[in-house]
Parts: sequence; C-alpha cells; structure tokens
Amino acid sequence: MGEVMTLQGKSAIDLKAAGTEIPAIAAVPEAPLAMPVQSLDAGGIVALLRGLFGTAGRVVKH
Amino acid sequence: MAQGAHLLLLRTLAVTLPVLAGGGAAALFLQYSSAGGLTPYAFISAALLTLSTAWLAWGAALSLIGLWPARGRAPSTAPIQGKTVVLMPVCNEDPAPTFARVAAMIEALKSAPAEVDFAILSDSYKPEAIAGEAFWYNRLLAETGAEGRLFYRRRTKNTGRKAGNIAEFFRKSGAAYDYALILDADSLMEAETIVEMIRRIEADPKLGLLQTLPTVVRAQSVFGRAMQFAAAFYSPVFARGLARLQGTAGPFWGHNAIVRTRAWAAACGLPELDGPPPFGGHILSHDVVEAALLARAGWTVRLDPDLGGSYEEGPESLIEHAKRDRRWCQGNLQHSRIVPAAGLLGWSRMSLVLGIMAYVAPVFWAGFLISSLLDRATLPPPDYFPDPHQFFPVFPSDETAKAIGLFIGIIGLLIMPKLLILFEAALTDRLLAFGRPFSVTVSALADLLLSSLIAPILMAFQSRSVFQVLRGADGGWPANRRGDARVTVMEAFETCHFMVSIGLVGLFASGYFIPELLPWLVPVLGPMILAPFLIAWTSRSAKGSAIFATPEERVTPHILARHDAILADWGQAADDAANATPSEGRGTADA
Repeated sequence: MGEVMTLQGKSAIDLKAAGTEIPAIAAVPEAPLAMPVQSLDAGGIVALLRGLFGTAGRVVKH
Repeated sequence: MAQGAHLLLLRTLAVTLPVLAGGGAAALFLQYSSAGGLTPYAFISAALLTLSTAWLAWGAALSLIGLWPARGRAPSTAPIQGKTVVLMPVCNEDPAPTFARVAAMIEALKSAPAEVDFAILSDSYKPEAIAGEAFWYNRLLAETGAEGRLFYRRRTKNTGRKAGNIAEFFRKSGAAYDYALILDADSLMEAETIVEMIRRIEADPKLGLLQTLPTVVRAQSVFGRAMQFAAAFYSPVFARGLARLQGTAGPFWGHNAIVRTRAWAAACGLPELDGPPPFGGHILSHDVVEAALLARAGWTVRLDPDLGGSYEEGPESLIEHAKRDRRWCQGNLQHSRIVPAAGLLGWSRMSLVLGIMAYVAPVFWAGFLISSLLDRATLPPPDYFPDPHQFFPVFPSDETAKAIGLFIGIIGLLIMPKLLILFEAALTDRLLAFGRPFSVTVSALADLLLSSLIAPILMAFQSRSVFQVLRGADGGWPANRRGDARVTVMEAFETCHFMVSIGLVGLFASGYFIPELLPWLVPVLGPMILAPFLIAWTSRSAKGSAIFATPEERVTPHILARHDAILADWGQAADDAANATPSEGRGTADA
C-alpha cells in the first residue's frame, strides 16, 4: 500500500492519483480468524480403486 | 408431506426425466439405424445421444419443477444484532465505476438498521489501476465520510486469485464480523436486499451461506441484451427449480451472496491440488467447492430466488462470453478431481458433476454428429436379395418416422421449457414487467432464433476449450473486457477461423459423401461458417430497442440510478481516470 508508482505522460489527475497515498485509516481491522485448509482427499472406495489402478499418489497437498 | 420425502420425490423426478429421455432417444436412434444395418458408429452415436439428451432433459426438468410460483417469505423486522462486512474484490478494474458502486451502496445503507462496513480487496498489479484505486478510495472516503467503515487493502501477490484474496481477509479480519457479503467488482445490491439477507442469515443459525439470483443489467449489444433478456425472463424459473431441489446443499455462484464468517472460516480453506494446471494447482471455480465444503461441515447453503435487488453485468459479445467460458470450463473440469472427495453430500457431488456436464455436453453433441455421419457414410449398400434363391427383393424397412420423432423430441426438450415459461409469465403477470405482450413474445421468438444460431458457435468454442484442457493447456486467467463490445468481422475471424474451416470441410465432405443428410447439417454447419459475421453483428449496439427489453431497462432500479448519478457527478474526474487506465487488461477478480 502506498508504494511509489511510475506514470509517464499522464494527465494532471493521473499524477495526482499517482501521488495519492492510501491513508492508515484504510487498513482492515486486525481480528484474525483461523481458516484451516480443508482436505479434499478421496473417500474410501475411490481411494481403494485408485490404489488398484495405481493412481493412489494423486493426493491433495496441504 | 414431510419435507424430506418431498425433496426426495422432487429429486427422483428431476433425475428420472433425463434417464427416461436419454434412454428413449437412444432406443429410437438404434431402431432408426438398424433399418440399414448397425455399424459400430451407431452404438457410439447412441451412447453420446443418451448423455446429450439427458443433459437437455435435466434443464427441462428444472424448468418444470420451478414452474409454479413460490410462496414469498414474509420480510422480517427483527432487530439485527450482528455486524456485516461487504467485500468487493477487484483486480485491475476500471476504478471509477467500481468505486462508484461502493459509494452507491454506502449511501443506500446510511439509514439501514444494520452495522455494515465495506472492504475493497485489491489484487491489482498494474500501476495505473493501483494509482486509480488510491485516488478513488480517497475521494470515496471524503464524499461518504465512511471513515472507520470503509477499508482498502491491496495484496502484492495474488495467491489463489479471488478465493485467496477473500481468504486472506478472513484470516486477518474475519473475527471482526458475523457476516460477510461477497460481491464481484460489477455487483450492485439494493440496501433492502442486503438488510433482508442479514436478517435471514441471522434468523437461521444453521445457515452458512445465502445466495441471491443476480439479475444481469446494463447490456447494450444485441448479444448482451439477448443474454440479459433470457437471464431475466427464464432464469427465475430455473432458479426456483434448483432451489426446490437444493435441500441443504444449495449453490454458490461466487458473488452476491452472504456468508456466516465463522462457518466460512472453519469450512472453506481451499487446498491447492497437486500437479500442474489445468487439473492441479489452485482451485479455479472455487465457489461450487466452497458451497460443497460448507454443506459437508453441516452448514446449510441456500439459494433464495425471491430476493430481488441483486445485480451484475454480463459479457457484451460472443468473444467475451467464450473467454469467460474458457475459464469456467477449465475450473469445472478441474472439479473431476474433487467429485470423489470424502464426506461431500451426494447433492454437492451432483452439482460438481452437473458443472462438468455443462462443458462436456457440447462435446457429446459434436461427437454424436460426427459419429452419426460416419455411421451413414460407412453403411454397406442395401442387399435386396439376402437369400440367393429368393424371387422378390427385400426392401429395408423405412424408419424415417422414428428419426423425425427423435428430432421433434429433442427440439421439444429445447423449446418446451421456454414455451412453458412464456405461459407462466403471461399467467402470473410477470410478463407485463418486460413490456407489451406482443413485444415480449417477439423477444422470446428472437431469443429462440438467436440462441439456435449461436448454439453451434458456442458448441465449437466449448468443444475447443474442453480439448485444450484435456491436453493440459492452462488458459490462465484472461481478463474480461467490460464495455467496448463492438467486434469487427476481421477480429471475429481471428478468434473463430477454426470453426469456419471445420464448417466448410464438413459441408463439402458431407455434400460429397452423404448428400442426403446435407439439409440436416446446414443448421449446424451454416452458423459455424458464418460465425465471424454473426459475432460481429451481435456485438452491434441495440440499446433502447423494445426487443429484449427487461424490467430493469424500463424502470431503472434505485441503486442503479444512484450509481449512474454518482458516476455523472464524478464525470470529469471519471473520464480522466478512464483515460489513464488502458482498456486492455481491465479485468475482474473472478466471474
């Protein structure tokens, strides 16, 4: 946020925009919420079939 | 009848109709083909026809189930306890119209009996877009006085695209809110709708996500207005059908929906699939998966089609539509990795499969056409004297009536839902909101004609997308172009010359080998050959025409009018900002 941008050959309003900083008041609230990554691993029968057909390695990365 | 039994009955009906229609079509086709002798191609054709017809019949079943009107929910007046945040993810969008949407909604919610904050979540990486967002954020803040209620943050790395953008907000700020209304950069919602959604989700502690049916607005081209009319006129009935089948595993379309923050955070952390795109990597069509994950965690996901006041914009040309479809195709085919995930509800799996079918069905149709032609072309010549001692010739039985019956049945499945919806609209007075009955009837007929003409073009685009994905080509995330719909014939030709070539080859080959089938093929091959002209013609402006008029065009909804007024008020500055932002690469975060 608020980083320096390069705008070449733009109008006055662009330059004004380019010089505009995002004020501190814009910052989103600090109120963390845990969001655990979910598993999308296949269920039992499908996992078994995949094992039989040699594709058991296709698992989901966490 | 108990609610569970009622749902089971409707779902059984919805599944039975496609099974019967698909089976019936295959039986008729095989009877017709058997007259001249069955080739292996006939069996392939029958299998493909079964699946294609079943897909058509699924749409017809949805319309039948949604045909009768729903009882409206009584609006609640209960005081709202929870705090809501409206999330607007953006990615290199034209900032003035986007921020004007936020301004209109902040203004509309000023006296609402709910505590609602706004957060613009930027994934923009183009300097012009970043500069524009900073400028318009400050102006928005100054004009609305929404200090402490209007936030802006930009990620420097857009991991996980829109889903990752929203997840990042939840991880950092989710605990500050009870509910989050997820929008797209082109979304607009009436304050009354937002408040009603908050009330509904608050009233049902099991409700994890509440989806509205967004109405497409602001289309100007022939194509855009035809799609807008079809969406406004037919979608409410299809959506009602879908809602009656949803149980606790309804749909999520990625935006214009409210979620319970703690449910979302607990259930919707998306993993990255192993392997490279298109089947691995980040989950592209994340919304269906998020709905499935919420339902798996025991939360209700619900579509309430009765909620009005929810708007979005659509593509203005067939090319923009095809570009969006390419993304959705890749995302939906990627779901084949997710269908077997442990613990998903059966209906969630069904939704994932239906999403895949939406893109595979056109390939089945194309495959059916090709294999049927091969079947006819490879038929042995009729043997009139199978027994060398017979005196009189044996003529093959004429099964033409079965072919005609099959054709009528398939056309019926295509037209019947639209015809029934036209009657439903006339009987319930819904039709009058679209204009005079004569104009609406002409619009419905024009939609039928136009959709028949562009169906082969869409089939060609979608089939190409499916083959691209299957051979491992990652379509990336090409940006949508809003506005600037006009496409020239040459621009269209550059995009669709492959289908022109296929159409011409198909026409000459069938004319040479099986000329008797040519009249059946012209409705498919003709539009493919003429695609550049059709694409260019449908991108022309049709603003203000009574044909394809929608209720929102005839009486501008309050929130759209306010958005227009704010943009006009920002006029000079908006023009300057637009000049600063090149149209190329303007895109949306997702849909």
